[in-house]
Amino acid sequence: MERERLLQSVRARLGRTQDGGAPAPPRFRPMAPPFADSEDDCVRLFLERQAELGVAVSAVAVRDEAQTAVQQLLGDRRQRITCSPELCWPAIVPMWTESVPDSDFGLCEADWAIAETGSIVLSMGGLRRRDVSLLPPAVGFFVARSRIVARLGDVLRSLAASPDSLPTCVTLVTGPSASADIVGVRTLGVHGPGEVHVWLVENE
Amino acid sequence: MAGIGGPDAAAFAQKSADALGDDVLQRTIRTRQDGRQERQRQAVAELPDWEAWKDAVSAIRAHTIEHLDLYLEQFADNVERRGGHVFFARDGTEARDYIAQVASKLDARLIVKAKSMLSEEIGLNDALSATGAEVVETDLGEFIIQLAHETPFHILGPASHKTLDEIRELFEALSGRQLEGGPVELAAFAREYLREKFLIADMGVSGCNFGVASEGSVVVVSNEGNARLTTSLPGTHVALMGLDRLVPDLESLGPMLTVLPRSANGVRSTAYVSIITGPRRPQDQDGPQDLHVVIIDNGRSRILGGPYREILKCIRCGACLDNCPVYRNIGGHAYGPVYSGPIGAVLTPLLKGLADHAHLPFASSLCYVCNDVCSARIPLADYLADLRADVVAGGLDNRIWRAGFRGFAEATRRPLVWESGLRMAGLGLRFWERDGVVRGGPSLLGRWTESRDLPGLAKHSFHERWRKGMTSVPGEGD
Repeated sequence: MERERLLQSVRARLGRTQDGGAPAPPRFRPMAPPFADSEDDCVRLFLERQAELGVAVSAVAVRDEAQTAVQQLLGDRRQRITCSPELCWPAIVPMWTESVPDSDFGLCEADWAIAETGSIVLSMGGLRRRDVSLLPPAVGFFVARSRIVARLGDVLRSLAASPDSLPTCVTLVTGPSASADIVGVRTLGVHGPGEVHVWLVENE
Repeated sequence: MAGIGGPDAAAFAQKSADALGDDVLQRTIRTRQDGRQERQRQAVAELPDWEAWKDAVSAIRAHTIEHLDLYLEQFADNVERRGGHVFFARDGTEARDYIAQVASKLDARLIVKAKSMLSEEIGLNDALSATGAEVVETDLGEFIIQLAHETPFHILGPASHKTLDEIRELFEALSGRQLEGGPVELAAFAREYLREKFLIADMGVSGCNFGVASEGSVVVVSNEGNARLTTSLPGTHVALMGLDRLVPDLESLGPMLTVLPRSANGVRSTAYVSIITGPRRPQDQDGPQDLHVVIIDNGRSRILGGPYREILKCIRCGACLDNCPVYRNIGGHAYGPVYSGPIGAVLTPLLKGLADHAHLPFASSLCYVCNDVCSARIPLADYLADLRADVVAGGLDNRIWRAGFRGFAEATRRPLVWESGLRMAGLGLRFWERDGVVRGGPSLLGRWTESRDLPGLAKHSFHERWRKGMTSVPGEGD
C-alpha cells in the first residue's frame, strides 16, 4: 500500500504515464590505466599499494609454502587463529579456535585483488564467515597472483556476469581499519583489524 | 539574514557568531579543511581523466533519477526476492514508526547504529530509545557527539570540531576512570567499549550509500569497520535508504566508488565497502537472519521533476563543505542539525520548506567553488542564487531590504536624487568614519558594519570629478 502510494507520487512527479523498462544506463569507459595490460605491472602496483597502506606483504611460491609462512608469523606469537575450513591446513590446526571473537588472527582467501586501489575482495556466504576478517585484531589474506585485476570495474563486471551466484556479502578491504575522528589524527584498528598481512601466492 | 527565515535564522546568526568568536574552533576548522583539501587534491590528481569520471557519476545519477520509479520497483522486487523486507516511508514519522515496530517485535534491548545522515534527518534515535532499547552510535565521531548530546558538525566528520580534552572528558565520564594518552589510546577505549555492545546487540541500523536496483543490493561504505559489524553481527539489520540513492546495476557502482572516496576523504578507496545482497541464506554461517530496507521519501519526491531535481544526484561526499569559505568561517552547526555547507544550504530548504529556511541560500559567497568540486556536477551555486530569487518572489525576504532595494532602483533612475542622496549619505557617514572606515551607526548600518569594513565615501563623486575633467586621480587629492 505504502509502496504503491509512494511509487505513484514519484511517477506523477516524473510525468510518467505508462510502464516500461528503463533504457540501458550510461556506460563509462575510462582512460585505460598504464598498468592494465601487463600482469606484472598490475602485481607490482598492487604490492606498492600494500606498502603505502602499511600492509606487510610476503611472496610465497606455492600454496604449501604459505602454510610455513603462516606458521612462522603466528607460531611464535602463540596466537589463536580463525579461518574457514578450506584454509584449516594441518599446520594451522594446533592454533585454530572455534570462537571468532576470541581469536587473535583471521585468515582468509581473497577472491580478487585490485591493483589500482590495493583492495582485497572477499566473497562471503556459505562456509566463509563475515566475522573472520572483521573481529580479530589482525588479519591475513592469501592472494593468488592470477587473481589481481587492474581496476574495481573488472571485479564489478565479473560479479555482474553471474548475478545468480552473487554471494550474500562481497566486501572490499583496503588496508587496516582506520579513523581520523579524534582530532583528525589517523588511528588504526578502531573497529576492524588494525594489522593486515598479505601472502602473494605466485603459482596457482 | 535579519528578518528572513524564522526562528532557525536567529539560531543561524547566533551559532555563526559563536563559531566566529571561538578561536580554538576557528583553528580546528581551518586545519581540518586544509588537510582534507590537500588529500582530495592529491587523490584527484592521480586520475588524468578525473573530470570524465565525475561526468560519469553525474550521467548515471541523472539517468537513475529520471527513471526513479522504475528503478525503485526493480530494487524493491529484488530485495524481496532475496528474502529481505522493504518498507516505503513517506516521511520521518512513518519510517520511525516502522523501525520502532521492528525493534519492539524483536524485544530489542540493544541497538547498534552505523553513521547515517538520514537517521539524523528523521530523528530515529529518540524513537528507538522510546521503545526501551539502548541505542548506541558506533562510528567513532557519532559516538562522541552522542555522548556530548550534539548534532553532526560535518556530514563525514561529525565530531571534527571536538578537541582531544573534550573527547577525553566524555570518555572519562562514560568509563568512570581516568584515561591517559592521545587519540590512539582514546580510540582503543572506544573499540573495547563498543565491541562489547556489538557482540550482544539485537539489531543493527545502517545507512545505505547506494542501492543496486538490478540485484537489490545495499552498499555500505566505511573506514572503521563499524558499518560491517553493524550489518553482520546482530540478528536483524535495518538499512535506511533515501528514495534517491539508487544506481541501476553493479557496473554503475564503478564510477561511484571511484569518485566518492577521492572526493570525500582523499583516498583511493575507503577501508571497507560491503555489497550486501539479502539476509543470511540457509547455508551461510553468519550474517543477520532478517534484513529490512526502509526507503524514505521525506520530501525528496517533491524535488523530482522540478527546477532543483539535480540535487538528488548528490552522493554525500562532503567536498562542497570541505572547500566552502563560508563553512570555513561558521562551521557546521549554524546550518541546522543535519546537512551543512552548500549541500545543506540547498537541500534543507527543499526538504523542509523555504519559508523557515529562507536564510540558508544566503549563507554563501557565490564563489562557485562548490560547483567545481561537486562529485555529481550539481550546480549548487546556481541553485543557491535561484533559491534567493524564490525567497524574493515568494515575499519571504526582509521588508526593510526590499524597501531599500526599491529605493536604490528608484534613485539610480533619477540623477538628481542619486547625487543629492550620495552627498547626504557621505556627510552622514562621516559621523562614524575613523581612518577611512565606517564603524557603528544606527540600525542596519550598525549591524552591517559590526562584522564588515565599509570604506567612507569619497569627498567628490565620480560624476563630480568627471565634470571637472578628472583632474585628480581616484583615491588621491580628495
